[in-house]
Amino acid sequence: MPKVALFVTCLSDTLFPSVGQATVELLEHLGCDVSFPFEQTCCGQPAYNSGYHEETKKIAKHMIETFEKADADYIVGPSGSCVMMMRDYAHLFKDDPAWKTRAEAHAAKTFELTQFIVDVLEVKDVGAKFPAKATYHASCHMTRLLGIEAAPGQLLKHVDGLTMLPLDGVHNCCGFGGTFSVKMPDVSVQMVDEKVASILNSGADILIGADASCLMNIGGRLHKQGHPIKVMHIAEVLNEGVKQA
Amino acid sequence: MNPGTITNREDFLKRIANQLGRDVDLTPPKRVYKHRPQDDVLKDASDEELLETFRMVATRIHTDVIECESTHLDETLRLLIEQYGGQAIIAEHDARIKSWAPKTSASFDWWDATRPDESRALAVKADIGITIADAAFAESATIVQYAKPGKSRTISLLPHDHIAIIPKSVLVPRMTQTAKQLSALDQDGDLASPHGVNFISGPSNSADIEMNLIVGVHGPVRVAYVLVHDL
Amino acid sequence: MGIRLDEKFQTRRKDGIDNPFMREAVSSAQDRLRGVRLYAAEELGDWEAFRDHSEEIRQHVLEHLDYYLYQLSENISKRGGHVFFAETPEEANRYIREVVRSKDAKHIVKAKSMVTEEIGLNEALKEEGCTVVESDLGEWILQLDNDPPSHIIAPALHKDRNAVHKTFTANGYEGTNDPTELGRYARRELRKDFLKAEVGITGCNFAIAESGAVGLVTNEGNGRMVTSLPDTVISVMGMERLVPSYEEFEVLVNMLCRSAVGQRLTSYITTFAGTRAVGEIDGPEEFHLVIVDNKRSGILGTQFQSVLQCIRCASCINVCPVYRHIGGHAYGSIYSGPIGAVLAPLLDGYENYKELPYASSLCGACTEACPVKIPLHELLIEHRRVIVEEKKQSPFVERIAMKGFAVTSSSPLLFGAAEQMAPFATSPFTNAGQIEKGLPAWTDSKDLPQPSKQTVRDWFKKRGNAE
Repeated sequence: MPKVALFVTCLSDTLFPSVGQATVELLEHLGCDVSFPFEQTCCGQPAYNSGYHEETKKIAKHMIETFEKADADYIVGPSGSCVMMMRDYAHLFKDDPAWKTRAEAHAAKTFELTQFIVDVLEVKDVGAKFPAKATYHASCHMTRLLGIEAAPGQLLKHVDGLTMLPLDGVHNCCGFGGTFSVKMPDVSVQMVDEKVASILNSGADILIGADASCLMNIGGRLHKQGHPIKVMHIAEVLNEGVKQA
Repeated sequence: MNPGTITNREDFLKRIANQLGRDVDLTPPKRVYKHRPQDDVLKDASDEELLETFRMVATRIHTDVIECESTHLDETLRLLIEQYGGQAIIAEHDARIKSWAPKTSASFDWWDATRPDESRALAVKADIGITIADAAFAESATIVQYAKPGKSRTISLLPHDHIAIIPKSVLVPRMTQTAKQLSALDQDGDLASPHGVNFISGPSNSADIEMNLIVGVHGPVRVAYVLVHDL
Repeated sequence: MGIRLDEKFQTRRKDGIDNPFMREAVSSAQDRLRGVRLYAAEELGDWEAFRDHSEEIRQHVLEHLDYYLYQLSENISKRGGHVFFAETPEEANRYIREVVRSKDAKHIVKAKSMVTEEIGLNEALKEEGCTVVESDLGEWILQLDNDPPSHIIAPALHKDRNAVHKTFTANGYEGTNDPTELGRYARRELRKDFLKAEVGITGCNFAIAESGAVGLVTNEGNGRMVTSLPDTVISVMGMERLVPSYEEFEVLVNMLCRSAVGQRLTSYITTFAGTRAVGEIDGPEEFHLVIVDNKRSGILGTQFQSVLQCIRCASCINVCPVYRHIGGHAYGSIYSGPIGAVLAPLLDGYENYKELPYASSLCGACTEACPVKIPLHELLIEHRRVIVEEKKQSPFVERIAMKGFAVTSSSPLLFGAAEQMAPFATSPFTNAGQIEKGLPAWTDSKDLPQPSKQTVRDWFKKRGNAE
């Protein structure tokens, strides 16, 4: 039984706890022994992307230590973006060989949820049932920087009853970009509006994504404008009908 | 040929080397590349497949392709000139096509480097320019014109229409093969490559207004490739 | 460097966002160019191997830039051309003015060149009393209108056919707004300039060191006109724009054409080496190559060196979602989009361009599209790091917030406390579980779920205890 340490991510821990819960339940359903290293905090991406690399190093060291102590085979998180940051720590320690080595070992164990299910567990049909019409938002960091393109679609294809509709401009960023969305809200809102228009145009009732940050951004705009599109994380969808009573 | 002047070079190169953290180094560096994908493109294509690619791509870039044997070249050109309706024609000599003399009612002149002003004036007012390609690429339906003594860089450029005669023997898969030949002419310091090379792929065009394709901006509006199979 | 509009970046962005025609033109151009570029990449076969090869070529040249510039200048000189190395725009312009004066030239035609925009050559030549005509269709439109370029490949992308029609009509045109008819007018008018010009000026896509040649990539044929007809030709190149031989030239030209416009090769790839040969009529009798540094050497040997790999294809601009909505003028630099956001602060300092590195959601589309594998979004983060850690120019409030964030996020106790606090701190702004106000930069346009009173870790702990 693979030992998995959950990397919950801040957004799913606090704003979208159902995502973290679904991740745990789904991994357990797939036969993993899931632990929760309670000392984990944030991956540090907001500081890193804003140029505060000294600060990010402190956070990175804390996260590496925390997950080392967890002594798991794998570290799995429900966010391509946060996982990318965790896998990228070695960049911060170019001049610090000891920490660089630890960062690389940490990176090698860290996986995004759908990538872990498809590539490591080698499962494409998790046994989920979810009769709905949905479309999928491909997150930039997950698709381009982690290179996970196929896994989410392969998993969703096997969900019983789920009809996936294509999304125009699926490659376009939703406009979140972390601090970008509050530093340049004028531009960010143009980007999310184009995304919202594509979603409405797709005919889907549900928007599925694999990154809570993008979903918070798109969902926040949909809600503000009163569009009745439900926003769900892929962990929640894959956990539908799987949830043991 | 008198060598040209070189000004301010020493300090300029020093600044660069300094930034790179070393002294100026003028020993030729070894070029060791890990990748060389260009040799694989169209590598196993047969002659017929290359021709087929050339024809297909030419059509896509708005270029007419006419094929003939050398015995029919005069007649092919005459018909093409009639079709294009050109009144004034200028063409270049080429050792490979000695017997060529198209019979046409249009005014016909040869580019003559010994009469520069006259030749330039003829090129400016010509409706059709006729050239003979030094190489052709299947992948991109490109023809190559070397600037050489006695040849013209402009009769494939100034007239409204350009007809390029292509001996089939000069067709290669892509630019890779010609680039290799050109480099071989210079790599020992001989500087034997032509003083100018034009790689031409179809008519002049622009997409500067609303990304709409305008065919024929400064250069030829129509281009025809006459592919001669036995040359 | 080039254009620097007077208004603040925020105002320039707003001008872009409020310009519906520009946005329609840019988004449809982006969508179209994306499609043709992906097709062209797919068709080539092993695109990633071509990217790897292009990257290694560019890196090799930069590592040996002194040698290749030496070799290029030697060979151009042997082929009868003059080479002038210019550290600054002023030096370059002064030399070019001297050449023009020595020829007693009054009419100059130019082929499109970003580096001459960068050094402000046209203004310098006007001071010399010359008429300078831009012969690229897009550039000519802008010149007639006194408008700066908004895209490095399609400079007039922000104008529609009606705007062009208006500009041409003011110049004596009597036809319709049909693009082909407009194009024919430009052909007739500019043909006169080509034939009249005493001096032609070009940029340089890639110089070829081993052959002493300059290479131009064009579609319209103006590059050929400018280098074939005038007796004197001057080419201006950024010092990094060269390749060792025709073999590397071929690879990069292919990548440039496919990445920029999705063509296998553009209509004209033109190389010319020094002066025309004996027995030739066409081509320059006198040739000058001006090699411009303009702060590029300062980038060499730094963490930003890879930006000098750029081949100016604009594919990063064509996929950038920020450029898509604000357009090229908003950047206030002749280099816009991601490449502009990286390059402008390096060429012209953080004082004027320190906001540009933040004009990115770091979506990575630029890095993915780049044919020479410049890690553009990483360089944007590196700019931010320099601004924060070296220039110490980040806003005070942000600095405090980030320090606090780091302290909290490296302490499980504080982090836990912050998580517990969040639902209470936000409750005054909350309606039915959604925060609707209170964080104007966010809540003016988007709602936000209220932080949950039970975090996942609470749930997990409870669940563990229950089991």
